[in-house]
Amino acid sequence: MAKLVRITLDGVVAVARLHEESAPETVRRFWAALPVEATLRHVRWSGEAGYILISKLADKTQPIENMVSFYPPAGVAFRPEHGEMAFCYGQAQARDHAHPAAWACHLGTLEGDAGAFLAKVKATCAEGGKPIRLAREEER
Amino acid sequence: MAKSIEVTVAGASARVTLWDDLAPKTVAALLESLPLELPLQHCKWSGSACFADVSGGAMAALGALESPVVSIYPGVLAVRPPTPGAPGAELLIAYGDAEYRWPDGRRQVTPVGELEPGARALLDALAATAVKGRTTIRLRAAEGR
Repeated sequence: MAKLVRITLDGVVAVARLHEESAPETVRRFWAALPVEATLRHVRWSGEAGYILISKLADKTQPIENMVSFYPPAGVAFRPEHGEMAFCYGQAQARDHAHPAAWACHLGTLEGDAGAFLAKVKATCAEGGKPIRLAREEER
Repeated sequence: MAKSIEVTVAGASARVTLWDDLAPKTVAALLESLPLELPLQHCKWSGSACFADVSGGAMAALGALESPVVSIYPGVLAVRPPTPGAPGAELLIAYGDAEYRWPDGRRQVTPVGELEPGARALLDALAATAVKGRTTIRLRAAEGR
């Protein structure tokens, strides 16, 4: 059965399907870490995305599965070295101060019409951080 | 005597010493444009810096870059002059490590000045935009110089 994550951002809900076949270890660790509550902030280096840091998942030794550099729109990307999870609403790429281009795991993809959710992610740039909660879908 | 301006963000003010030796045309355009009150928000691609669009006046009529750089050091004010794909100028101010980047990679800016010592409150106000969102930046001619 597919692993689905319910994401609630400032009252708006989206569901992401995790890419378990192509990123099995990253999905396993993330699934075990749920639920996660944090503040979503806009990225500073990576373009059109919001991010959270999940410190308990930060692991510089973890190989990056299902590697991407450019984040797919409506994609959920994860950089294990930082424990950074990004939610992409437009053009975005794994970057930081030292790396004009880096790598991330394409961990999951939002399902259905995620427009309202992505609009909330975009709004963090102008409005600031927003509360976010990620939980296993069956907890609904 | 060095030219300077006063910058205010979220109630925090500091002076900026202008580098009219490095960027005489850009500094002149900035001074001609004062006072300015602009929406300021955090950069999406360039790191620990904020930006404001300047859509009119002398700044929007600027030509080429002067003393172009990519890195924008903490406390440095920089200007990206209008380009064919981006009419209007962009004013940038860094509070930490920053490098001017677009989606397709690094770009250059004109460095125009630097915050004078003792600007911690202003730097904190700039950093806070990453958490609190958009604010306003005010620039005016410095008094007493």
